[in-house]
Amino acid sequence: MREQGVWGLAWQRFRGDRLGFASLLVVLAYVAIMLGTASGWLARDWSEERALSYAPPTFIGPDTAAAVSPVAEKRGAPDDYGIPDPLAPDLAEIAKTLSGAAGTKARAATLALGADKWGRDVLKKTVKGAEVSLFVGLAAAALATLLGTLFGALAGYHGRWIDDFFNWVYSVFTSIPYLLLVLAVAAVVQQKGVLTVILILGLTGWTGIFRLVRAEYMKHKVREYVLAADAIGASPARRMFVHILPNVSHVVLVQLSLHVVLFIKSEVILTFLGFGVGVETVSWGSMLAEAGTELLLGKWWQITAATVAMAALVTAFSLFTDAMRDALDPRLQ
Amino acid sequence: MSLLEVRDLSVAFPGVQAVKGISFDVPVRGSVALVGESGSGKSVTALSIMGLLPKESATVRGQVLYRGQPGQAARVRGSEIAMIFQEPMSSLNPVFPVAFQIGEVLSKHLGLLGRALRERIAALLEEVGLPAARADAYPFQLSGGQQQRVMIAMAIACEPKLLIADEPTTALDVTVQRQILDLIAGLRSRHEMAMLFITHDLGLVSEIADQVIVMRDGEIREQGATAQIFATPKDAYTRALLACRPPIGRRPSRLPVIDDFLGGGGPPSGERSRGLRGDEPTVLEARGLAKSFYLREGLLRKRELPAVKGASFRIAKGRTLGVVGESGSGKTTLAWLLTRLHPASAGEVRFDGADLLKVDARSAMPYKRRIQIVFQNPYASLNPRFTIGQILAEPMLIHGIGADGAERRSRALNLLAKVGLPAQALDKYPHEFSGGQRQRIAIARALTLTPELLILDESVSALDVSVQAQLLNLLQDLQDEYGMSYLFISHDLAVVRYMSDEVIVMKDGEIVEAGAADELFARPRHPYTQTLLASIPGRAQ
Repeated sequence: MREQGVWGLAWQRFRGDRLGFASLLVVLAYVAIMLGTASGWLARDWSEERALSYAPPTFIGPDTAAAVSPVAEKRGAPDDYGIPDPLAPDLAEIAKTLSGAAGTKARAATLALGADKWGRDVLKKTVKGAEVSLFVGLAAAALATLLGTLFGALAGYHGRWIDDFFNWVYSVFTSIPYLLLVLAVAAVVQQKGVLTVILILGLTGWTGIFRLVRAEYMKHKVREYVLAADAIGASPARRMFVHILPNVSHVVLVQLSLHVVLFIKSEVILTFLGFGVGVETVSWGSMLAEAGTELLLGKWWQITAATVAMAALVTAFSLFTDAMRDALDPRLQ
Repeated sequence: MSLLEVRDLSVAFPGVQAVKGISFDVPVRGSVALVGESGSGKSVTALSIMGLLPKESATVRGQVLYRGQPGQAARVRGSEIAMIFQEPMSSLNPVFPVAFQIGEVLSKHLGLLGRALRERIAALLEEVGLPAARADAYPFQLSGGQQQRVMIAMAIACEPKLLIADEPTTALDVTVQRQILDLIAGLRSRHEMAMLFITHDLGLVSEIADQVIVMRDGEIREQGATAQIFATPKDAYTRALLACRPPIGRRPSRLPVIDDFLGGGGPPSGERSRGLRGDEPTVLEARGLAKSFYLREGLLRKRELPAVKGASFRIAKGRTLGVVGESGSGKTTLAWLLTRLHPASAGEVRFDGADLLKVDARSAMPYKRRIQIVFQNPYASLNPRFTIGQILAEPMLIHGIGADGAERRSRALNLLAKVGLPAQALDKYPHEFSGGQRQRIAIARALTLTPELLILDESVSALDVSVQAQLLNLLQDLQDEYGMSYLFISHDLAVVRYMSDEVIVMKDGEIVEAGAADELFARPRHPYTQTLLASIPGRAQ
């Protein structure tokens, strides 16, 4: 029988936690969706305008008012003055486009979760939006954790001027209001897109992880097993990353997980404020941004779909993080 | 009638039966010692008498009668039954001055206030031998011995009839231990207290207890009058426990271990001679070795804290140099300087023609291989995330010993067998081993580099006496086989005497006396050495 290491024991404890395990399954389902859309298997045609503008969800039924009086027919009225409108054919064309009648195919009156202003499928947008939101969350958290861990390890292990330097950087970053810092990075990068959002979040979000990892390294560097590694001739880098890192990895993992949740929410906020991903792609943030005007018209389905999808992921991820933290707690070993 | 009667007491935790139906009495004004190694159930017994075990996990059966009444013991705890613990530092609240903490006990149980309270605190402090000027000190400003005095003052504040002392001197230096034992003995006779003294050290027992109870694995192996237990122990385990401490006067070739007695083989015979012939080559010589730490005070000022002050000594090839001293004497700093774990402030260390303190980090690597160290705490010195195989392969990997993983693995297996561990250990993790086994692994790790000098920094101090005996035997065997030199650091004088050819005595960073082990122990010249030797508990035995 293979002996169980700390990871084996942690996994055993984790499996015993039903809620945590269920959350893990939900998170994995979202990751599967992300991979599906990224590879083009799912929701590839999310931008196709396949329904009437603001077509309601199927379970509500078609919008009868909109069907009886399409916009194009209302616009036919100016003939009453007897003056031919020179722009009439163009206007009619524009009106047709707006009302969704210009497509070659017949447009659907309802969709599973409704349609947006351009008649795009909200369900597909939500699925496609998961890709951007989750990817941004994961990648930005990975970047922030990498920076925080690396800086924290260097500062905590070496101490002295290296510690002073990183503490100075840390203080500068934390003394600037968060949104101002984000605006500054956004202004420097000068380009909208997924990569930019990841950079913004990753470069501004490492500070909390840095502080925790630094403290852990300060605690561990004087432990006897590190002294023992020094005595057998292990180099400082080896002591830092081969010996100490596995012993603080539970802290790093939990922080990584917490920051995924945090950054998914941050991406939504950034996009809502207009610093996030561009209009050519869709994320839950851009769906919420569009929904701002829709709500005035009483079209609630897009905002609901994005919110529910995000809430489910964030809740599952948070519960998963909690369960992971319990399973990895060294005091329980 | 006895003051305390324990009848058929059993304590079970989930998965473990800690105490298995034990019965004993503590007579009025009597002194009973509960002796056993770790896991024997002695502390659990004390806690269950006080009713301090966690109710959600512990199942307690049997009866504890105080003055003949069941359940009374837990009701009078703090007033009639008081307890002192092993770690005074963690038992005192760090944010309050000690007088305040003693006063709290007095005002809670006796309702004293104002001037009466202050006078009683002063009287108590005087009684436990703490200067009145220290009353307003915070715990961190006191030494370990003074902290334990405060704990004792709190314990006797309400004039208890029974004092339960759970290893009260284990964390203290031997000379301080002596003072505390004298203090407890004096208080006991003045206040007519009964005492239940819990310890792992049979040496202490002979001095303070009229009756001894020997426990093992939750059962009482033997109980009786102290003189009888020491003179004619009936139980094989008691005999083994008495025999496996290194004796002060003699030096058997091997220390007896528990199995010798329980297996029926009887103790080993023969004596081992220690000491130098005088023609041994020197493996390492230190001259004027010094180390100071600096405490930053304010922006520019630094305070110098000298840890080692100009130590000079030599270690003979294949021999053992013992280092004794109390906490803060600089023993461990000395070990760190020799292994370059800390840079030295001054002096030189001659090893194979080179000055170890002058070479840079890169050229020090071959020397690092030849000087290895085994630390005190086997629970902390092995990386918990490495398997034993990884732990043993790593030094070889770093120093390029062994051609490939397979060869390193077979070398590791060889060494595991040498230190008495099975081959299956290779794929296990440190947490699956006991303290003694872990220390064997730490020794095997040092041996992977076939060092010429092995520094043993309190390497057996954290272990039970029976396990200690096994490890000391192992170390002697390894020295005979490999011809290694040892620098054997310990606060335990008997163990140092047993293991060493030569001994140096350290106090406050200085070597106060050095010489051949037998000569130094038989005729100590320096007053400090004399005090140390006189403080060894149970010396008269």
